[in-house]
Amino acid sequence: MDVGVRRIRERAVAFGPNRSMVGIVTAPVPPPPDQGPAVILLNAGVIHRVGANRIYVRVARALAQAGYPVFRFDFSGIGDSEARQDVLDLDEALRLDIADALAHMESSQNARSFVIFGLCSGANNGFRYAIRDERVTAVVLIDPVAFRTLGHQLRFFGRRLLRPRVWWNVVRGRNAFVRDFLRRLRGQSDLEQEMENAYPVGPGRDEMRKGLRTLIDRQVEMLVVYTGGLEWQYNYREQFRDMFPDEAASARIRVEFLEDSDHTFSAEAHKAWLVNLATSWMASVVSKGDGAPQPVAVSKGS
Amino acid sequence: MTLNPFYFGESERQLFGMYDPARGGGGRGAVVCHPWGQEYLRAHQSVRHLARLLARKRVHAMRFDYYGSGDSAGGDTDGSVRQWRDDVGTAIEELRDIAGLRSVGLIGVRLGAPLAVACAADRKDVDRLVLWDPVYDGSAYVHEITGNGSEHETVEARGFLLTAPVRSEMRAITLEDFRQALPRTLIVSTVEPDTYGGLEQTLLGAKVDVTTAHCPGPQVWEEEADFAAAGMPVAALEEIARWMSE
Repeated sequence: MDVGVRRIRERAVAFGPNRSMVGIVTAPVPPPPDQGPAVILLNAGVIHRVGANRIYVRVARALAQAGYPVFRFDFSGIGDSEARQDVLDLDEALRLDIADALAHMESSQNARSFVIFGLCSGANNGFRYAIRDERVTAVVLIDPVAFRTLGHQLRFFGRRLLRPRVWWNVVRGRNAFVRDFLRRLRGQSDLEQEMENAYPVGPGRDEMRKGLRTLIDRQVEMLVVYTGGLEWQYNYREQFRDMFPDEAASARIRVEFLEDSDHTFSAEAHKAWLVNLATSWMASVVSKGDGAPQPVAVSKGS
Repeated sequence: MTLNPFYFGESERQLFGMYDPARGGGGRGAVVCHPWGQEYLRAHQSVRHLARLLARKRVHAMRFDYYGSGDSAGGDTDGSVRQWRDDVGTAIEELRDIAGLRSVGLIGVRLGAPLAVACAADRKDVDRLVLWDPVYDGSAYVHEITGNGSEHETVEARGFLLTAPVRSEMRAITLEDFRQALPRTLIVSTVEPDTYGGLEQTLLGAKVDVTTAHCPGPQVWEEEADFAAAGMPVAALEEIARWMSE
């Protein structure tokens, strides 16, 4: 791999049917003869295309130096992109925006296959898109939606039982868990659950399981990273295996857990860790040339 | 609306810019000087909205990222306050060239304000100046964003790196830097009304035609730490666009 020695070039573009979206293409110059898939970075929440703490810029430049063309762009209505003028539900609008990004890299970089990379909502949106587009041959999902397991609950509540402040709040009736329990006793609804039902943050457990199965069957390589910033949802290394025991056993899936990191990789050491992981993982699973991933080496994080 | 993202400046140190042409053409222009670091991320949507408002009021608007920030070339530790001042000058020349203007206004947000002041004092082609919740006490600012007095070579500042030389440059920013022969100036405050009283007096002392507008609203650089989004300071944006277009 030629990490760190290849020249790269960044180009700003307005793209999409109405040139209503903004993105940055970061590509090796000249393109390597064995160019691999194009990497598409999806917005995390409403943070524009530079990513949380500028992490997407770091990732894009590192992957371009490794020989991959990379596109980071703003979904319609986020960052510098215009809001859509049509009336579509959010999932469909996001799907069309991502498809437009792929189309841009097809026409401008001659890309034939794609790696989708996303943090938080970007991971959830990327996962859903990958299921429906067979040109996607690999995904990097950072802090996608997680589902609480018995192991999670024991650790989550166990850690809190050891904190005197928690007990003090219980006595004063200010503990969130106790308040929720009392609300349920009074026959009132679970507000958190209501919020989750009204504003789902990502795929449900069944949708995710089926999606993982679809991607495994399609031989899509998957790197799934969880951080300690999602502790209320994910708090131990083996949780992914406990969430999806059958799918997690696949050699296509690598799971990493960076417990010390927050959700946005604020610390420099965690940024560097993610950039190194992304470049080394790409090198290990993607064979250049036709852009189709071939498993070279797989290590399991759990 | 046509989107105009582009790179400009030297090829090895290219800067990212967004140009919003004045609707229906216009003879005025404004370069927006962003805040730095996490404040830049949080303010991005508001600054973008300001550019749209300016364009609607027939003011050519240009936003850009300093070297080593946002979409511009350079890593997080590659920039310097001196470099960013030069970048403001490069952006002024770019907007004048694109829009065919003889002079432009500068809108400095937080750390962008002292950069805009330094640039305006050095040049003849800056006709107006907006200082939006300006940073005028560099030591307090560095303490605020680093949260401690660490003197390590490089420290973390809310998700970004701050080198010792840049911290020194930032700490050197004082109220005295604003005592300059400046064009007509508007101070915009979204915080307590008297926060910038001393700054206004300093500018008046330098015989600057200065007005302060108190526009209560969200502090775009402070809110929603995890999500890099803040509420939209509508009153401040409208006041800046109105004043710039007069």
